[in-house]
Amino acid sequence: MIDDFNSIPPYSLAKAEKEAMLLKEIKERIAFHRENCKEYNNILNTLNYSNENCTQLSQVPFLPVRIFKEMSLKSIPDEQVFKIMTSSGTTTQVASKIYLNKQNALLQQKILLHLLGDFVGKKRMPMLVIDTKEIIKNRKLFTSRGATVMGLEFAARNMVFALDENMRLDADVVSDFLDKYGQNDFLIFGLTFMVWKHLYDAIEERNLSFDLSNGYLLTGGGWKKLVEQAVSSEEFKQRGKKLCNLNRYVDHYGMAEQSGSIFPECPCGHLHASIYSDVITRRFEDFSPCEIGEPGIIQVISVVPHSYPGNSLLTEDMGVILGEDDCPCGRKGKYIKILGRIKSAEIRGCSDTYASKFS
Amino acid sequence: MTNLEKYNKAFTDTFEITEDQLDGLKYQDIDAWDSVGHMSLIAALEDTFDIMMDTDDIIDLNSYEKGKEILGKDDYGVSL
Amino acid sequence: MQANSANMDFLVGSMEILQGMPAIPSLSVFSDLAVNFLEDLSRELINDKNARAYSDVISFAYWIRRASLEKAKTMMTDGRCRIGRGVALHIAPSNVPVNFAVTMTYSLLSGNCTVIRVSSKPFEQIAIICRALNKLLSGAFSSLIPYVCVVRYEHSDEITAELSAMCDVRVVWGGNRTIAQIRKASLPPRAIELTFSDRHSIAIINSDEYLKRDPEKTAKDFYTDTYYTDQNACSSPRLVVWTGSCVSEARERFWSYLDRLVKQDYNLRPIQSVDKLLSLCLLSASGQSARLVSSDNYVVRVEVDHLSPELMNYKDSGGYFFEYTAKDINEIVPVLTKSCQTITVLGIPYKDVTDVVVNNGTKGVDRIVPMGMAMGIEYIWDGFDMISSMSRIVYFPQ
Repeated sequence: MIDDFNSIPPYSLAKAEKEAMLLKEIKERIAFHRENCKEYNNILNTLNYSNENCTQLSQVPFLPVRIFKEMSLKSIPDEQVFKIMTSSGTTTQVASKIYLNKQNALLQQKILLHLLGDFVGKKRMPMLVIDTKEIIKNRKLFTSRGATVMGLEFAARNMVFALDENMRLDADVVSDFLDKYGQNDFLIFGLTFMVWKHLYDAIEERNLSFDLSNGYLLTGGGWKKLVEQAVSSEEFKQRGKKLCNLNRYVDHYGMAEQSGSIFPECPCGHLHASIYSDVITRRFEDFSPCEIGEPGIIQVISVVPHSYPGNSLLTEDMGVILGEDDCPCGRKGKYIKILGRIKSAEIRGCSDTYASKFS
Repeated sequence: MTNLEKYNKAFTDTFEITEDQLDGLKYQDIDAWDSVGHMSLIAALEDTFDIMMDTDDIIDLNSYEKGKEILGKDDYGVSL
Repeated sequence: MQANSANMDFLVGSMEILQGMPAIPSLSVFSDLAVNFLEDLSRELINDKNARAYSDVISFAYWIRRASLEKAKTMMTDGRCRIGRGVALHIAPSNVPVNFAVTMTYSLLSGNCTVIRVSSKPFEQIAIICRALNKLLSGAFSSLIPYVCVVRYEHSDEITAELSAMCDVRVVWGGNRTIAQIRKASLPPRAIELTFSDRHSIAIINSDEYLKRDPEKTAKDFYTDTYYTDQNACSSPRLVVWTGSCVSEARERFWSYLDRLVKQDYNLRPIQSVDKLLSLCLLSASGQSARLVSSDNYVVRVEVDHLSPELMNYKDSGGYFFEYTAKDINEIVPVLTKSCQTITVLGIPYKDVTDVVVNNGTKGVDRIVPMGMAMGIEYIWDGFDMISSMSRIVYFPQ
């Protein structure tokens, strides 16, 4: 039962204990999805998978994460669909469609809070969002950016949006927020490139002075755009410290297809798998598991998905497992580093990409 | 140039080798004589002797010596 | 041509030449001028040391050598009077660098003034061939200058429309989306169009015959048909159909020899492994009963227990094969849909296949070639006789 997980500190189980608990739970999920999602059952039949023969997590079958862009997969009847979460992909315009029922949506938030609590404390704090209110108002924009903010709604005591509808930093709003809450711990949330461009740049250009030393900056994704501008994670942190005294950073790795069970970054700069999830890196030649330290394609395993068969996914990210149970920060479980996305291939042949230039 | 000299030149130019490498040279003995190099060789031989080779002969021509034999046939009449 | 001329880059020819084309006389089919020009182009390329690294350039040069052109000319000579239609506009595909030269060859031999829009990707093969073209045109073949332009332009509906408005033949390579886009530009009333849409191909192997052959050579031939172009050419087999009485023995030998070759020569990329897994999942999710029979990602084999017209919607590239054992060759009919192009055969008489096509009236299958020849360049492509299609007949009773 998932409740067993919620009563345990999320980074407290060592390898053997965690694997046993996770495997049992994942197999229950697989059996459920197999029963309730015909397409998923077909896939497992083709892969010749059976729960009886699965004795370790590395044997759990994985779906390529892009499949949620290509087709609808759900294990609940239509009338139970509470919301459909979409995420726009980075490589294509097509968005993933994740079907959630009420229970699954709640579970995502609960687990997200459980995990974040380990990094920023369990207390609910006021939150300054480096984004515009429009992202949750405008239904069309209600994609990953909006969804992540909404997911944090419960974590926040009071949510304040720092940007106006033209994506310009509203200095008065920030000053008010700091006057009211700046003496105690508070949260700042934004995608890395949003923070870089709309907070840092604005502070510098307009010569603003804010003291964010009591804040935790939560970021998640958006690195790609900064990497394009050759901004490193260190540079990002240095600039924040210099401009507004920002010292506490919690980045994370995660995806809409496994919302909730994120991999937050500890002060050592490591992304941590919690008891709700695991990560395996695989060799592209035959999908065999990599050794610790050997870069491979990242597979993520999560107990969270209940309403769709997304418990074990092969991502299109390359990464490396740095270690297990032995991070200096004291958290148990595997900790990883993301190396970037798999390169899309320049494929030879007749069907071409000329057409894509037209659209 | 004699026919033999022309024949040798087609090989040495195409594969960028020297004459002393020619005796006993076979298809795929050297990197340059792969399937692509073979096409270049055939084109060069046809050009040199102003002939059109049959597909069967093109495939059979798998050594320096075999080439002499094929070109010497009545069809082409190149005496080497 | 007015407004957008500034955005066109001429690799061969010029705006002036392009604008003059409608007034240039057509040439007869297989004109001496065109044949001599191509022969010299062949020689130029074969002797170009830079070209040697590009097997596709050499294959093209080999195809247009004199002996080969003579043979083609004999095939076309039937006593009829044939002449070029006028100006031919060619849209070449972006991922097959040498295709532009092949379509140019058809066009010149048909007697047309030829304009080719080439890929915007800076392929070295295109540069090598254009260099040779320019050398010949500025030398002995100045009389052919008015007949050839090779252009590059970023997508522009306006330019495509202007070029289309002046052409008598439009030839569109490169897939369904490109065709749909180009077709937005209308053609003059008498102009004709040849389109080369997305196709798929299959292979049929007689197991008894296979076992008599050199397995290494067969593996090489099959590799050439598939992996050599990332198994993504229209003519690359995506399905292997087995017939005969020794299927299991033949299969085992065939795939193990191929596997060795692929691991040695093919540069598998991580995204291809993921793509193949995705294709497999999508196929099985669709309800097609399938079985994964391979164990790594170099040669992914998916065995199916029946053939349906939908199967090919789930095809993939880079070494992803459907496999089917047929008791009777007529079982392949469901996959011979409109988009089926080439059947590569080993140990199967051509007639057996044409019988299946004719007796069942299938909408697909334009070409049957021996294994190893899927990538061959021919004068008949996708069911078109290229020279006849790009020229016209001046009829008189014979």
